[in-house]
Amino acid sequence: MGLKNCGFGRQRANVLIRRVVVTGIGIITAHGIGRKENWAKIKSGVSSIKRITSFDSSKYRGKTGGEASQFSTTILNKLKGKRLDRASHLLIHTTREALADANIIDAVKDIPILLSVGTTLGGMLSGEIFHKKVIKRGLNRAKVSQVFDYLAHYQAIHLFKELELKGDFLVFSNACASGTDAIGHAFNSIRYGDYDVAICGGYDTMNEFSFAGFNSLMAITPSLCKPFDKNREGLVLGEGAGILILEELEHAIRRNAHILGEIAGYGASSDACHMTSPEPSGKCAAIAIQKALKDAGYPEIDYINAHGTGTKYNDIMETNAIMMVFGNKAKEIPVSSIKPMIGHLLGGAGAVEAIVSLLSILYKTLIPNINYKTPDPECALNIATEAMGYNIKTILSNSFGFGGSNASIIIKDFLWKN
Amino acid sequence: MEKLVLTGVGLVTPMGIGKEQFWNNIINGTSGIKRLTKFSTIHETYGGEISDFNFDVYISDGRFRRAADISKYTLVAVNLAISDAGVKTLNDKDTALVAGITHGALNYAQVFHRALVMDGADNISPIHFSDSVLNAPAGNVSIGFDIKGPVYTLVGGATTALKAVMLASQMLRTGEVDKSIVVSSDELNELSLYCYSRLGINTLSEGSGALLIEKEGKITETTPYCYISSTASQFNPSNPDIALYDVINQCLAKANISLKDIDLVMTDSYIPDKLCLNDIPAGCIIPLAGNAFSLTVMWHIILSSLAIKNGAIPKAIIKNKVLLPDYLRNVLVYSTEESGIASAIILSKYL
Repeated sequence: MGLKNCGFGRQRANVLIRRVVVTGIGIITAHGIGRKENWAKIKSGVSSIKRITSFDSSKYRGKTGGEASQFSTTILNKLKGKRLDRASHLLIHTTREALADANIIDAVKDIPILLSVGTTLGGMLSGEIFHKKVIKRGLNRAKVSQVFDYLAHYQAIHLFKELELKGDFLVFSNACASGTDAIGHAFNSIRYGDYDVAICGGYDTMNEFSFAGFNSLMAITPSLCKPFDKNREGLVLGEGAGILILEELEHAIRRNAHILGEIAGYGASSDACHMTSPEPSGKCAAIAIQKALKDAGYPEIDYINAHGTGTKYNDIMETNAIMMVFGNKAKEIPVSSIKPMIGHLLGGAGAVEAIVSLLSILYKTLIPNINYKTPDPECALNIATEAMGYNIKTILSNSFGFGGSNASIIIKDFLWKN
Repeated sequence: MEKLVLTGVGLVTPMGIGKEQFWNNIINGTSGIKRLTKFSTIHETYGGEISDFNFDVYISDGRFRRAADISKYTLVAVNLAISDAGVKTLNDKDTALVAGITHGALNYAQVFHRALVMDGADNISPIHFSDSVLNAPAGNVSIGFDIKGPVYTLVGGATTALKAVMLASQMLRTGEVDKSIVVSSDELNELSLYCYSRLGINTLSEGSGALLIEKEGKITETTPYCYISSTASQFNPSNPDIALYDVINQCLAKANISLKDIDLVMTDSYIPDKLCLNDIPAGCIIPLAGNAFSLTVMWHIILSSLAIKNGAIPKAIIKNKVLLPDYLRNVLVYSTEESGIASAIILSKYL
């Protein structure tokens, strides 16, 4: 049976493109641990933003965040007795959950696995402890092991060791676009035949370093996070992780996997404009969206999961980009951001948002953009304010980050016919 | 399959800035290791420090004057690589940039932490935050050179430079972009000097190395240094040696050559006896330039490219006692990490 005829793949420019499906997900956010708890709160439009407890936030412009307070540490087997950074615990726990969801956890040791993950900060909590000890007690009293946990690729190494994986890993650090880029790379690596199975996603922890940094840029809101609202004042940070198991379609079918959805397209671009401010016209973010749409064969988009940080500049830029790409249709497509509920997860944002978008397809439910009260003429999109049943088949999820990183991904309902 | 060729190289090293200075010092065996002057708190520490570096000579754009050293090195190396390839424009969204970074802007991160702890939240500088994020060097390059295609920062140990080349190659092969710039950079930092010295790694280094990779059919301006015959990468924490054998064998198979066709091996790692590489000249730049992890591997790639184009193996970098051939067809560059990661590339003479 030829690949082109059976719906397993298609040909483009002499490169065979295989179909890539999602067979498992793992998620930890301020909403809780696991798919069930997260989805229940997401569809209810509940906010899990609270006063920060992991450090003293009283001196900052904003004092709240989306801490994953229900999560402490994961169970370690191979690395039992090792003191790992919280970021490693988040990554290991969500990966285990995703592998179990995909029903592949026992077989995974025998398959070459690509791990493609995104993080902005890596083990920054260990870095903070190290720096504080150096400053207060001197270099000789600081633990060298904390420096290595601080490095952003050590979480991937710990995961491989704990789960006894073989294959390879790539750690993307593209600021807030990291998670989406990591999924995009896993998608490309599977469809072009480098791997059959990939673990992909992103993670980041709540820490004072990044909180103080965003605060110094006046990006943290002193009130509620209100993406696309005229009175928005900034973002609220969060923490967590999102992991997806991607598989080549035939591989998933052979092992009778439950297919949750299909990754249809990915696009990336750069603003080439400013380190911290987005390119205001949205034309470079539009390139990423257009590339993703082209990659997916220009499907009808039923819902846009926006980057929607709630900062003045991001939301206008994202509106401009959406308008540029979709024209008048942009005013019809429902748009929402989940950041007001769980915060901005930085390197984890794109992955968690991809998972939530996938769930919106599975449960045919629009996700509400909570805290939205006053329309902004500069963000004249169809903002979904209430959760409601909606026939979502194909979604677009956007991520934009420092350094002008733009990434968009398209996920769709799995149908046998491509 | 169309060949991917290396058309431009850019270097900021303790052994000189630009390919001519670097190559001459390599050929002459001139060391770039000297007593460090950057950190007043550290005494009698030696390393590969970039000195006499005048950023404004290479980059006139005032927006980057306050950037971290790692960003400045990256900007200059990329500028040199682009000029070296004779490329006048980067064709907007059809150029990709992949940075392979081990540490990032540690000095700015340290300054930020210190200010936060000692002086309080009201006295921290936003630039020490925004320029210490790991993708700041790549972000600054995309801004400086108007690169609107995919810009990625990969983080990891020494093998990351090779993984960055692999990602850049994937984008070229699938037709996503016409040109890919790959860069690795690092900056010396007193805390990392201390930590690595505790692990027995004493001579660290800094700088940057950049490559321009293009499809053979797209080049018009220059004769390539070499082409990429094959790449491979693997992580096997339970058996690091197996990972290394596998990637080398995969590289040889993909390049359709055997071990006897390899004329030079460049590695920052050990050479296990089982690999049977002992009769092949094995080079390493660390004794002359210091260790900068991912950047060291990038320097090995660039040095191999220069050696292939010049048809000469610099004696000063060779670690084993073997006869040096008077020809150079294929160079194997590999790196391994203690945790079990191994990556390799074979670069071949472009005819």
